[in-house]
Amino acid sequence: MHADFIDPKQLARVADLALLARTVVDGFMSGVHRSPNTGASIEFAQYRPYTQGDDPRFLDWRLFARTDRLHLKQFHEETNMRCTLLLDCSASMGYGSREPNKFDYARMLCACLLTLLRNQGDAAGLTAYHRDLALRFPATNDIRRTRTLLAELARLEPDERTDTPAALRYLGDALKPRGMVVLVTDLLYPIEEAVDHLKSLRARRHDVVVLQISDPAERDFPFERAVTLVDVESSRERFVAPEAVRAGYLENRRRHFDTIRRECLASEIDIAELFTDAPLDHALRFFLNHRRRALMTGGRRQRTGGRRAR
Amino acid sequence: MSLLIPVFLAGGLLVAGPWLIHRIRRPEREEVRFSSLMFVPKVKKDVIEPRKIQHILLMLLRMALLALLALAFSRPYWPISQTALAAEEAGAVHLIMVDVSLSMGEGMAAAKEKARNALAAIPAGEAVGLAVFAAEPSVLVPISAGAGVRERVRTAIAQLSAGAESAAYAPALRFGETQLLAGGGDPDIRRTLHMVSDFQRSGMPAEDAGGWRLSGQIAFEGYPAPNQALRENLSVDGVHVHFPGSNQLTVAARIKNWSRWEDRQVQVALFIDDVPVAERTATISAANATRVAFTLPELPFMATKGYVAVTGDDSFPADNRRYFSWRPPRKRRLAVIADPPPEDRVWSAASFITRALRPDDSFPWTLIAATQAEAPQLLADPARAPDVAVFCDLDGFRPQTGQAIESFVRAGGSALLTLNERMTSDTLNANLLEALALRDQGLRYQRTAANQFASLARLNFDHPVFFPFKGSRYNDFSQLRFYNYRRLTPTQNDAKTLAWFGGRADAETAPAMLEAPLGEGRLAIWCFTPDLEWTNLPQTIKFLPILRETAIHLAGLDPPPPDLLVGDRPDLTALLGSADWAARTPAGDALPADGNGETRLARAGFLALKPVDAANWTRYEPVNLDPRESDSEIASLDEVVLRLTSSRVTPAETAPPGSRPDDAAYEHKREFGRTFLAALFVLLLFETWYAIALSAKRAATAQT
Repeated sequence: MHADFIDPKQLARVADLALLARTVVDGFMSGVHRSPNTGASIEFAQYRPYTQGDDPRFLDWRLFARTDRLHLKQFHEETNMRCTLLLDCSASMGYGSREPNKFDYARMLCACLLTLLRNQGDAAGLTAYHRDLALRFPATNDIRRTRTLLAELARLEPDERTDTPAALRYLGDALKPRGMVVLVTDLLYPIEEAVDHLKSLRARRHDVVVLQISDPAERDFPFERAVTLVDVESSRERFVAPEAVRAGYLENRRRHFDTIRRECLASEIDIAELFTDAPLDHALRFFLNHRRRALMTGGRRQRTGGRRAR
Repeated sequence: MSLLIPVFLAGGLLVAGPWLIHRIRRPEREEVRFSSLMFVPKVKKDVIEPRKIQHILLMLLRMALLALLALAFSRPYWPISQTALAAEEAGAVHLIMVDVSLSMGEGMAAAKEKARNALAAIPAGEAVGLAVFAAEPSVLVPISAGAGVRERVRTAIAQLSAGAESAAYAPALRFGETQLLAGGGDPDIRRTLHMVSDFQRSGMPAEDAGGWRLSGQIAFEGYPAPNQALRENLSVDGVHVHFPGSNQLTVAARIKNWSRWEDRQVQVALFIDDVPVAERTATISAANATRVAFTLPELPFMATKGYVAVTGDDSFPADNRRYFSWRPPRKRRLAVIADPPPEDRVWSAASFITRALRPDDSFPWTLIAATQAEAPQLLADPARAPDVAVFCDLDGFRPQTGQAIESFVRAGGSALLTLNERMTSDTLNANLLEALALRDQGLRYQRTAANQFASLARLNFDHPVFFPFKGSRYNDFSQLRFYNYRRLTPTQNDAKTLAWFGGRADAETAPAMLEAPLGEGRLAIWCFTPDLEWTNLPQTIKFLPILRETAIHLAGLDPPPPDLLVGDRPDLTALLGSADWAARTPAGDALPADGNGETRLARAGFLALKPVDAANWTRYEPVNLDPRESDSEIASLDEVVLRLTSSRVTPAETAPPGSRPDDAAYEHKREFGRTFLAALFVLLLFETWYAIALSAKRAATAQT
């Protein structure tokens, strides 16, 4: 992928989300080798000499009859991971000191992830929420439904206040267990309940990934002159002298996200902070790494249950 | 309160400047939408509100600064009522100072008239006093408002006469200021100094005389009374007695014609002991001077005193005579200290020097010959010690010789040291040159050759030794060749270089002749030895005058005769170096031996001197009039006011009180714009401190 196409500022000008996602993902995946993992599927991979402890079900008896040696028959792994993207559509996601804003960045990211998952053969779904559910697409492998999903995603706009705990509570009931849940949000809300529900998802043996989207202005608080800040969600106003509050702001923010990261890591939840001026491939690489780790740990279960080729 | 220049109030519009700047720079309440306020701490109100007040205070301060500036430029004043003015004038003090210097001469009558006019113009009831001044001021009638003081002043004015001293205006004005400010500087009292003088420019202080000026509390009124006789004056400006060394004495007088338009033919006579001995007729063009010289035919080996006088018709004869005296110089002793020359030297340096300094009528010195071994004893013996010691052909340079030269010169003797190849750098540096901040670096050439030589590249013709050679007829030294020399380097700048080597064949520039100050004496060093192996100097016509001028310069340490003027207070101890002298002034008064510096010389003539225990007067020092008093150039009153006073009142002669249209208005207004300027300055300091403090506080807040 050419660097210019990964620059979020350039990508934000592309209206067709499906095209954008395909471009990014194809570019990102070019040069990346196919997964070397082998497992149980109908696609033959190779023979391997039998060693003690191997599952005797995969022994090729015909080869044994011809060669009088025991070999295992191996197949390419077939994954059917179920991944649900959870997109925060709150008003705070609509903030952006530069192009794109957090929501556009998150939407591009979701589109790329959906395309990536589809290309990987995984079932991908998306749930967008603010105070209520804004969009609900269960995970599917169907390409036509994925296109419809991207079209719906393009129509989404940030709105109203967030109720992440309610959305997670709903998803906890609605999702089938042992899937992957990717939460795309700015995490700008009291986190106690959200962390509780993330933990409950984790307890239902979901792999949970949190992609935290932040604007560079939130990171640096770059205001020079005294201004009145208006909360985009609550419309509350506050007059601030930047030189007087900058240090306090940065300290509060650091403490808030440190707490979240600590809690997530304690619950084996991967979390990454993505800034809207960073290329999308950072997020994709982070996601793929997580997925690889997830397959290496949860994949053993699937390999042992694979079908035997005829 | 009123304003003298109200148009400057328009500058008050500038106060809008700080307001506009504060408006522009005021932190705008710009609304910025932000993702969440959950991390933004609340700013305490007591942080925002004081800041608002601080900025408003700063703005008000700056507006006040500009308003004060505009007000100060508008020159505000309080009008003073006539009644208040009259009340103030009741406390007025006047001092009339009359110039009684030599130059006033026949102009004294006019000066007295002006002084009487000044007295008459002073309102009745005001204090008045009279003082005179020339070289020094003195009070004739102390300042008083009592009855009869005006009559005493009138009487004193009538008795005034010109003296023989020169006028000095700055001391006179200082004296007047002291008199007028005596008893405190009450600002309600008006003080006026009335000065009657010819205002000779020669009596004014130099431009760089320290910048003293008459206090601004004192009004100055000048009454010029120029002596018209000075315009056509003839004067003897100076007399110079020269003893060229031959059997003659030359007395040269400078006669000046101060007339700007008329050439004058004058008779100039020389008097010795009041007896006319010679007379000359000279024609002097207008505004010019001429030199008239008399040569006394017989060598006067005894003290001579006399005067040169211009005889004939002159409008101002007081300065037509100038006194002089002359004493025969003391006979000098000169020692040539030399070792035997090398056997191959037919003509040694000592032989050339001895022949060149052979005593004769024009060089009446006593010549002594000694060797280096005898030198320490000779120089240390007060009875035999010479005035000048010339060292040449020294066979090495002994430590005792260096010590003897150093102690001899430090004690006031003089020496000439010629350097040769038989000396070594180590002995020279260690035994003498290091004490003189000089360093010898050895011979220039190890072997001499006829075609290898240096010349004198540069000479200091302002030095007394080479001064007689100054001028195109005598300053050609190109024929001199130096086949070798010792390289001397001054390590400090104390040594005075008289001549430098250099030239076509010798690119190096090195001192050829130096003079080093050492204690009270002089030490001259020739970096070569004057024999024919080293230089052709002894064969040239330059040798004898250079050597003799060097000897005369080294021996000429007598202090110059004092230049006493009428009005001086001679200090015999400083004059003669001893307190054991008795003196008698030209007026016939005896100078007390223990009262030096107290008695003034009141007239021209001779100050007679003798040792206290002697019966007869043995020495005479001339006392002359200050030649500057003959100068007819007059300073205008404007110049006097500008250079010597802080007064803003126009001098009375050019603009009598009330004649100037705005005088009355000016006199009745009391300005106080300076008060605003002072307040402005204080406010500016406060504003600067306040702005810096605010800035520092903001920086500290930002850091926390």
